[in-house]
Amino acid sequence: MSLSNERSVSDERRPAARHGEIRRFGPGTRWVHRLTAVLFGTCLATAAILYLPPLSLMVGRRALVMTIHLYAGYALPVPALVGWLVTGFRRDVTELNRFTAADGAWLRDRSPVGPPRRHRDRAGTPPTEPTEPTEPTGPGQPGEQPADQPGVGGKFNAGQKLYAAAVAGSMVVFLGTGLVMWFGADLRIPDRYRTGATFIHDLFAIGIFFAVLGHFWMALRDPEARAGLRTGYVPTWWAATEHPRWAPRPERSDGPEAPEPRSEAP
Amino acid sequence: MGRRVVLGLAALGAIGVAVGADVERAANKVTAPLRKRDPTGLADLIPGGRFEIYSVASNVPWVKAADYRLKVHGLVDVPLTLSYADLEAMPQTQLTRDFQCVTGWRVTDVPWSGVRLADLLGLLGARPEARAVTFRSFDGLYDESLTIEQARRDDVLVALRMLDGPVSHEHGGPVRLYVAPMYGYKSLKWLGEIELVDKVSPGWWERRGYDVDAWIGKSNGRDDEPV
Repeated sequence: MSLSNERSVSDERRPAARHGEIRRFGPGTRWVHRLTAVLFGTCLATAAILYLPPLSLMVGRRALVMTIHLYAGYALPVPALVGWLVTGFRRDVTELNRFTAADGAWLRDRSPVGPPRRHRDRAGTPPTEPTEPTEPTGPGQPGEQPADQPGVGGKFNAGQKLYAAAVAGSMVVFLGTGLVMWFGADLRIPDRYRTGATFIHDLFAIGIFFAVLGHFWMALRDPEARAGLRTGYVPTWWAATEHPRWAPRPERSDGPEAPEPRSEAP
Repeated sequence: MGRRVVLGLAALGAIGVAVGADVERAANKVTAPLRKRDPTGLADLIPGGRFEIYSVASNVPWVKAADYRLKVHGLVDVPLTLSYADLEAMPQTQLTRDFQCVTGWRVTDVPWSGVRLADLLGLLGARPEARAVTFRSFDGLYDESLTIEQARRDDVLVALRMLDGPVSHEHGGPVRLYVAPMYGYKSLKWLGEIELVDKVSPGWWERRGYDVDAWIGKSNGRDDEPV
C-alpha cells in the first residue's frame, strides 16, 4: 500500500489492520501535539511582533497582540494536561522520560566535541548506532531495557527525548517568568526580579525559536515521521530502521493491530 | 532523565530571575558598544539595553520632515501650525538622558535634542485657565497629557533628534515628545497635535491601568532609579 493513498483516507474510515504499517500515535498524542503546536506557534509569532522593532511597527496594535500572546501562553500547558487523561499520551510521555543505555550511545555518537567524543574515540567505536554489542533487533524485541518495564524507552531517540524535555522545561520557565512579568506590579514583586524574569523570558524565547527551527528541519526531512503524527501510522520498515528498540504493544483503544512480524528488520 | 532536564531548566529559569537583572547590566557593558557600531541591526536581538518599539495603531503614516505639521491650539492666545523648519529654527536644547520603560527596560545615555516644550508654550501665550496639555499622535490613536507645571519643566522636549540623528520613523519621527523624568509612555511618538486644556485627561495606556503621574521610580509600583 503506498503512503500517498493512505494520506487521503480519513481517520475514521481507516481499516483496522494496515498492511506494512504499525500504529505509532493514538489520537490523544496527535491532538496534544497539534494543539500545542498551534499555541506555541501563536506565542512565537506574537512574541516576534512584540520583540522585533520592524515587526512591532508593521503590525502595531500592541494591546491586542499582548492579549493574544498572554492567553496563548496561559493555554500552552492545557493540551498536555488534558492529554494526561488519555492512556496513550501518558504512555508516550513515559517513553519520552525513559533514557536508556542506547540513548547514551546515541548521544555519544552525535556529540561533536567534549568528553563524550573522547570517550567514543578511545573506545574506537564507529559513529553509527547501536554501539552496544546487541544483535540486530526489530521492534517488539526489547534490548537492554530495565527489568521493571521491559520495552519502554525505545519509541523515541535520545534527541527527541531531549527536545521534548527542553520544550516542557521551557514551558515551565515561560509560564513562571511570564506570570512575574504580568502580575509583578500587582504582587509587588521587586523590580530586579521583574527585570530578571523579562531577561530570562527573552533569552529562552530566542533559544526555543532555534529549537523549533531544528524541529521543523528534522520533520521536513522525514515524511514517514510526519505521517505518523498526521495519520497515527508509520511504515514498518521505517519503525525498524529509525527506532529498532521500539516495542509497540497492542492497544485496545487504538484498534486491534498488534506488532507485525518483523522479518524484514535489519 | 527527561524529568531532570525539565527540572534543571526550571531551576535555571529561577536562578535567572534572581540574578538576571545583574547579568543583563553586565552584558549591556559589552553589547552597548556593539549596538552602536552594528549596521545590520542584528545586535538588537540581544535582550536588554535595547529599544523596543511600541505602536498601538495598526498603521502609522510615514511623514517626511518636509511635510510635517504640528498643530498647537486650545486655551491659547495664538494658535499655531508649525512646520519642521519652524521647529528647527527655534532654540535647540540637548539632553543626554536614559529612556526608562514602565515594563522594565532602560536604554542608558540616549542623546536627545529639540525644542523645550516650555519655550513653545511661551510663544503661544497660554491663557490662565489652561491647566494641562494634551498631546495627540498622528497615528490617530495615541494620546497623553501633562499638567501645565509638568509641561514647563526644563527636561521636557519636543524632540527633533535622538541617538545622534533625526528622530527615525520607528522612534516616533519626525517629531516626538521626550519627558525625561517620566516613564516612556509619556514620551509620545509621532507628535501631531498639542492642545492646551483645563484639566489632565488620562492617556492611552493610562486608560488601561498605568499611572497618570508617571514619575520614574515613584509610580506604577516601581522603584527604578530616577532619570
